[in-house]
Amino acid sequence: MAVPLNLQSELFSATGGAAAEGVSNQLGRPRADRFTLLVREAVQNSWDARIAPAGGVQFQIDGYLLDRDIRRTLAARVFGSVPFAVDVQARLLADGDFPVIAVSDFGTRGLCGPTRGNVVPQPSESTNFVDFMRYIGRPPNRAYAGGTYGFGKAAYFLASSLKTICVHTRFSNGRGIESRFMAAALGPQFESQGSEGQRFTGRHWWGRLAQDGVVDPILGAEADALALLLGGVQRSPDACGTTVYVLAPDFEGAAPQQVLSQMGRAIMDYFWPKLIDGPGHIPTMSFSVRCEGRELPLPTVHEDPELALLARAFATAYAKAPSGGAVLESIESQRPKKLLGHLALVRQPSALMGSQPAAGERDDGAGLYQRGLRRPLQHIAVMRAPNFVVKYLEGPLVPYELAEYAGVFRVDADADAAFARAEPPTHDDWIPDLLLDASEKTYIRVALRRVKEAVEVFAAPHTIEASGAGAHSVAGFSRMLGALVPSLSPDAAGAARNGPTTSKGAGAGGRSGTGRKGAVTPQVSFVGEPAIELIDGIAVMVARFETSGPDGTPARVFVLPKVVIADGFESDPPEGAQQPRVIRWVDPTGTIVAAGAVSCEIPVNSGTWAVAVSIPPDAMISVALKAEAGVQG
Amino acid sequence: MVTLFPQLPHHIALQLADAARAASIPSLAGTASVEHPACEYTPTGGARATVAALSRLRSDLLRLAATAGYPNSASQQQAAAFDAEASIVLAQQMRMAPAEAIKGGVWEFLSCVLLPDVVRWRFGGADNAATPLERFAAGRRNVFQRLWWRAFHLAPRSPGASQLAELLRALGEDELVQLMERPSLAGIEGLPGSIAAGLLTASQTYSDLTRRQLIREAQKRFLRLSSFLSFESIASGEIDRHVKSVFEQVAASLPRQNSESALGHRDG
Repeated sequence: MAVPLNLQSELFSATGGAAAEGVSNQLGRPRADRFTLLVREAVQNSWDARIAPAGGVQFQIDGYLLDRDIRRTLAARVFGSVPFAVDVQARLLADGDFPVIAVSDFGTRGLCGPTRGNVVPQPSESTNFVDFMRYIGRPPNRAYAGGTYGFGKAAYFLASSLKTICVHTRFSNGRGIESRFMAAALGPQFESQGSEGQRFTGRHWWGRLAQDGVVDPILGAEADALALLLGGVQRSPDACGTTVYVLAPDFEGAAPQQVLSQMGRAIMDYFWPKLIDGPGHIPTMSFSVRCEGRELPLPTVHEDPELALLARAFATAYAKAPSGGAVLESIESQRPKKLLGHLALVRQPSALMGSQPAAGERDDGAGLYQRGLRRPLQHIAVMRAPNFVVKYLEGPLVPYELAEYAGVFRVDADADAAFARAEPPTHDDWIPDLLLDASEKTYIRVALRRVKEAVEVFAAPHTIEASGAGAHSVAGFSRMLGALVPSLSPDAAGAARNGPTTSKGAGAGGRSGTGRKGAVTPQVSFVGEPAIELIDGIAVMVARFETSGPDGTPARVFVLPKVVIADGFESDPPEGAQQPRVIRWVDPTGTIVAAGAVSCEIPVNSGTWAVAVSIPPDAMISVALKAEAGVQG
Repeated sequence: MVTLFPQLPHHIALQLADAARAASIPSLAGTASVEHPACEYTPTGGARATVAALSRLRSDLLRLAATAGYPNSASQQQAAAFDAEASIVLAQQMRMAPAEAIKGGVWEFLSCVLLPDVVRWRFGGADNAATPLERFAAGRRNVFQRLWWRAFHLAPRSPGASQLAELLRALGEDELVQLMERPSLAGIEGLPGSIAAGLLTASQTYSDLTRRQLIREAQKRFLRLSSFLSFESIASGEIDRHVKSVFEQVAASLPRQNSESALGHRDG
């Protein structure tokens, strides 16, 4: 048991191969800090390794300091031999604190499969172990998986100031639970001295040297014992899963507890949908963050104001059905035609948010994690099938910050592959230029553009609809408002509606168009389009009309013909020119009731009448009708 | 080839105009120039006016002004003659697209930089009163802008410079205002020129009617027609026929007055 682990340092093959620095650089220059990077990578890996397709994954982060005795033991048993430029042994034996961050998952398959990269797996056998420990960059073979690069594991090494991790995993081999333990480091590449000098990639493994000279993982009880030594995350004897111990994480001077709570914040900001995307909005994943064994409180979806609003949008986008006041839009590409996803947008008044600072702002701002979500909220979470937030798009501010809004754009299953390929190794963006296929490039560009446009429309203030008021007159409403204007007497406000009142002063408030006080104005309306006819060789316009009003009231209808000229109506006719004139009035039976008169007494509700107006040979005319209350009898 | 004329920025034009409106004609003649450092040009579409062309424009207009009395004040008749001849010169020497001619800077360059003395002389007012700013600034009252546009509107559809010059010389200020004041008629290419020619013919045919009466009544009838007749789409021969017919109707419907002197005759 006390045999120290063997170290294997990778030699460059004759064909080159990848150096450790290359692996470190595979993440590019991420925008996020190294712990956010670690959290996002680790959660995706855990989700992809889930046993139950529906979820049931528990993800846990533990942060703690190693005791001096344990450090000595580790220095002897695990890191007894250290390679060039990897200071893990010296750091373990030094005086300063030695923190560890243990990233664990439960309900996951564990790192099963062959332990050698050159072993062909059995059919249906997974390659989790070699994918994680041996290979550099592997294409995904899982549908709708979160991580599609296999480069992301560099995030674990980058988080460690020693670029060293230990991995303990338990998995089912079909006969029982098997354990594996291995340490690995990414150092600089180097050459050994002397005549037999060799070139090393900088990739190192600690395990048990097999007879063929390759280091394999420690197995069984010894593996579990080594994990226990490192701080041992508790697992029931039959539980599978993996714990990655990040040695001496680089906190950049921040307090460990602060970094850990910010990792919790980052988990929630990017993985909150996992807490509500199960059937009936139950979680498909659970998260916990612990510091020295003590649970740190995580923001909750329903109490965190930012996440609560986003969750409403998510429910709509996920169900693809509008709900809860959220707006749902399909985002489609026209050429090539394809449904790309669904965008849900939801807004709320800013006042609803109250004035308490967001959870992220309660932490002192000196931390490493830069939270993307800010109030007033104007953020759109974009995500693919696994329901991880890839990134937040920021929309325009609502004018005057009277309202805030949030949205979720979720890629349709059919388009998921294209968006997955557009993600860089850090999975925090969609970059169309990463794609080779022109159609797929179009999908990404169109989706991002359409989402942006939809958000801009949503965030813009409502336009006031000037047209379309239809039959609903605001006159009644304005009369009610009139009573509020101090200069009008209350009588005046009611006069038009209530008819004559006893107050002499009330007349001033009546509407001038009413004519005599108390009289009800008959209405006149055209029936159909006017017709052009010839009467005794004269061209006339025949306008048909109806009058309406209370039965028995007589109406006098006036016809007002006008000559239309290029820029309006003619006011100053040419000398000696013909003017439109009324030829005759015809009742519904076709009888000519009057000729030549500009007005005619018409019984109300008596059917369709017609009036004929002559059209001068050199002019275009228009005809207007006006009704007045007629003389009684 | 279309010529691009220098354009004076409006704020500079206002400064120059303010200084020039009460200045003496000789002093303005001394400051007149063919260039100004602040001038801008439309970037594309033609060649910039050369110094020689601008010098020629100034000297030709100055010669016309001198014929009409410059630097001494002009009589009403002299001023009208200057306007007619200046319109012809402007139309000939400033071949611009209308899009260029609506740019105020073009006209402000002419009135404030190239020919400020002529503006001051043409609208000097009685007793050497200050010239109204609107004669320097761009707009329908700018000395040169109004003359150029007058010629533009009166131009026939097919180039016939002799006819245009004839019209400009024969028409009085009142008649020109009548022809220009209705944009719905003045804007129809070829129509104002045809009406103007019809007016001159009608005034000879119906010598008992004044030109002022004829044009006023005719315009009213053209307004009626233009509401349903697309003058833009018919051939110039057809337009001329309508013009002739309208003047006949006008002549037939106006009450005759034997004493022509009873009506104020302000033509010329």
